[in-house]
Amino acid sequence: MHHLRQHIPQCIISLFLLLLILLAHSVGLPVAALLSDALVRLGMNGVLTLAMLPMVRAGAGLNFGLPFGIIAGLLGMTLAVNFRFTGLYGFAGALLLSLPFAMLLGWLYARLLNRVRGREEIAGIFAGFSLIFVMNFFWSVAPFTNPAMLWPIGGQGLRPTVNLQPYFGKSLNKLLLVTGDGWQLPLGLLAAFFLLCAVVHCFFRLRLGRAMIAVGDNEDFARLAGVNIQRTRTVAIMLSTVLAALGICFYAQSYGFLELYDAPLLLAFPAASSLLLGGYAGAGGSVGQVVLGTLLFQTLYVFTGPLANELLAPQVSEILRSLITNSVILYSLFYEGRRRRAGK
Amino acid sequence: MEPTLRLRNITKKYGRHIALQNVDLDLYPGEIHGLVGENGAGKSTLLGILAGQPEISRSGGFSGSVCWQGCPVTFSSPAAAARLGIGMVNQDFALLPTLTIAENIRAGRESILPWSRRLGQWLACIDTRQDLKLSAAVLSRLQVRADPAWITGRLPVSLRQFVELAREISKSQLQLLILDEPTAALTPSDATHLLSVLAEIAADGVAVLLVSHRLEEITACCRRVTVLRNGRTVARYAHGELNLRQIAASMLGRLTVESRRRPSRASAETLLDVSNFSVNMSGDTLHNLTFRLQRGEILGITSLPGHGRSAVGNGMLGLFPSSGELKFDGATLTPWSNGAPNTAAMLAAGICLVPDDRRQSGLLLQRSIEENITFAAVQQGKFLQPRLPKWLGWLSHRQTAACATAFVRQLDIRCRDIHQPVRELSGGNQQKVCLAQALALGPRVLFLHEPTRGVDIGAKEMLLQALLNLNEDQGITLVVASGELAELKRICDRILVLYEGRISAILPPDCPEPQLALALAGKGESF
Repeated sequence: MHHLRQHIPQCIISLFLLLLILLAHSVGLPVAALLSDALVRLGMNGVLTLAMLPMVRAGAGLNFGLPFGIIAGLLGMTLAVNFRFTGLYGFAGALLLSLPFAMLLGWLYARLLNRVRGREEIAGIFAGFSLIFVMNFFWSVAPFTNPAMLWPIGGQGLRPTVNLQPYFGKSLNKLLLVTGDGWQLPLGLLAAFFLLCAVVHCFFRLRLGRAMIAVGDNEDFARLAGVNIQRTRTVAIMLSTVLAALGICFYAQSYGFLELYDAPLLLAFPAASSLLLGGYAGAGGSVGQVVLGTLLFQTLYVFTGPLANELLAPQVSEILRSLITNSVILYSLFYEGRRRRAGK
Repeated sequence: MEPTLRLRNITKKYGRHIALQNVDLDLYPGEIHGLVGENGAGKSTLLGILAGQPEISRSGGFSGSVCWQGCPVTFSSPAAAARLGIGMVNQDFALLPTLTIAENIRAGRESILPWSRRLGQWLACIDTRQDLKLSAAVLSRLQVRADPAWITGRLPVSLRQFVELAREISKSQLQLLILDEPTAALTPSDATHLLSVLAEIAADGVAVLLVSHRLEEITACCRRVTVLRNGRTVARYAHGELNLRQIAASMLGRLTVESRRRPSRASAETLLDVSNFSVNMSGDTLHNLTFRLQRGEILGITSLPGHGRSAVGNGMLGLFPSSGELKFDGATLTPWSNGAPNTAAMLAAGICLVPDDRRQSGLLLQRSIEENITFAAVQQGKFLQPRLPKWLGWLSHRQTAACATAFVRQLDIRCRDIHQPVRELSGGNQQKVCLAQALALGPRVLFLHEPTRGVDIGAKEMLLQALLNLNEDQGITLVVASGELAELKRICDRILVLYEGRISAILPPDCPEPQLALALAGKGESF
């Protein structure tokens, strides 16, 4: 009973989803197609949510500096497109190319956050925003040579949107794709996502992962056990950044387009919302919450749109969607506040 | 005479567990009433009801009647209880760590600059200077050496206890003062002083409810005593019939046996050679300490709070900046070098610490007994899967579980199983988990800070016996920093007394009380 009480926001949103699905069925929307779309979006966005986890566990707050990792991923992918990598190997190449950038940017980000202890979230937001505008400058002057990425006139500077279809777009989505009557199941994408989840889960069972959890729970305790707090936090932040770089690669290949310039500006918010929806509440955080939260968030996203278009005026869908997700997030924050006051 | 507070048939249940059953209690103005009982006897629950803690109403409230000066009342919240005139000194401090001592003492009752009084309650300006002055007056009444402008969070535990006390006794509308283990962090001389302050407060017509594990104080200063066991009132004693052994027996339902140190088995060999060791710890500094720790001995370190007894171990483990020379078994160690701690190196050498503030720095409260016991050892590279490379750090759960199970059995930790979260354990068992965590590292020298603080007498005897066994059977050299002189005299081979961060005396355990008291006051002679 007590266990159930802890998951009231998740129960409410699941019931609401069930209602939506029934409603969608009754007005004749293709439920199976929408559900499979939600699963695709789980694989597409899940890794970005996963990138919240190491920092949350190490007590560095929600990773609102996600743009650091995203920029690293974008650099990796633009290089991969510039070298004309294609297919699944091309995608793997993009992942590998983004790793060194992610480590470097993650290290810088960690140095920044270690100086603003206790205010990591707000510092992350503004550091991420600043970096995006620095990169805007870079994108417009970077010496890339593949004409598919450059402005057609002038031949210099990257386009805001680069089509990935000729390179490695959808390569993971098409791997082990099971299709049926109006629905499809991207087994390869989901397998890759769950593999990453498993790696992160196992990481927290290692010595370093345990140290990270202890630093997040009780720094005095960790210090007395001989844990180097600064270094552990740095590793956690770098790990979050690397995961964010992989996450944007998953996202872009699934979307089929590479979005540069201001596109990563607000990507941290849906990821943070997903984790909150999954039941993360100020302490702890688990891979299970990442999967559950992303699934709930994306299913909600997929269903409210067409349904509102069907039942109400077309523009209402977006409003309704934001309203529902944000109020559920607000509820989970309130609920957490109450629980924390109770001293649990 | 009308009692200040009358409790009748108080019954409190947490789910199916009965915490209190038909407890009656009368508190009269001007009396000091002792409340004793083992950990888990229901004392904290009873105090929670009196203080209006929200935990009580949230878990279903309680039954029975409460009369405050003849009128039935309910304590709906801590604020309501405070308005009636109930002051509470908590065991785990209710202080704001980022504020100064004066701000803590005057919190909610700040002095106001006269000219700003017209601005109303919310906009009036705080007269900081006046607050400092008032706080200094209260502190000097307690005879505490502390500047009211110090930040509370950086004070050692013992001083924080005094600040908490100062806050309550400075309230003017005080009718009932409740103290939960107020002397646990104090030395006997300070405790005696505190008790005389309590007697003065009581003489002003305030009822005092004193909860303590130190039965000597209870018998010395209380007019009446109520004993709780398993949530019931098992005995009441009036002033004439207070007898220490009898109270202890009715608390436990049995008689205890005191463990005592056998004649010294320490060798003359030096294990740790400390010279000119200084530690820079706010509120508890150490200056140029020089001593030799012998292999296999139990060394006691004591001082008044704030005179350096907790700085030795904290400095030795690199928790605070330190300087000086440490020679451990011939090898030179530096706990603090280039502005960074070397804790891991100290642990690797076999120097470990059980901290005094176990809820704050000794335990991961949310996590399991197994993880708490093995965490530090795992971080030092123990209990890893032997077949995988060591850098990977893959835990061997068979080994950690075996280690935790062994310590649970060895130290008799009362728990459901090794996966139970540590926050659900009682104080004594939490302390044993702290001890097990240090032992899992395989220490050669173990520093213990206030090992029996806030632990009931049954568990205390078991802990002291466990320490003696560790020393005698496993040859671990122990350094016990504590204010409990009686305990130090029972288990130590030598007692090192500090005054103002310097050695005042090194005394044998059988030295007479006056000599110890002089040493604590800085007038000792080394032997």
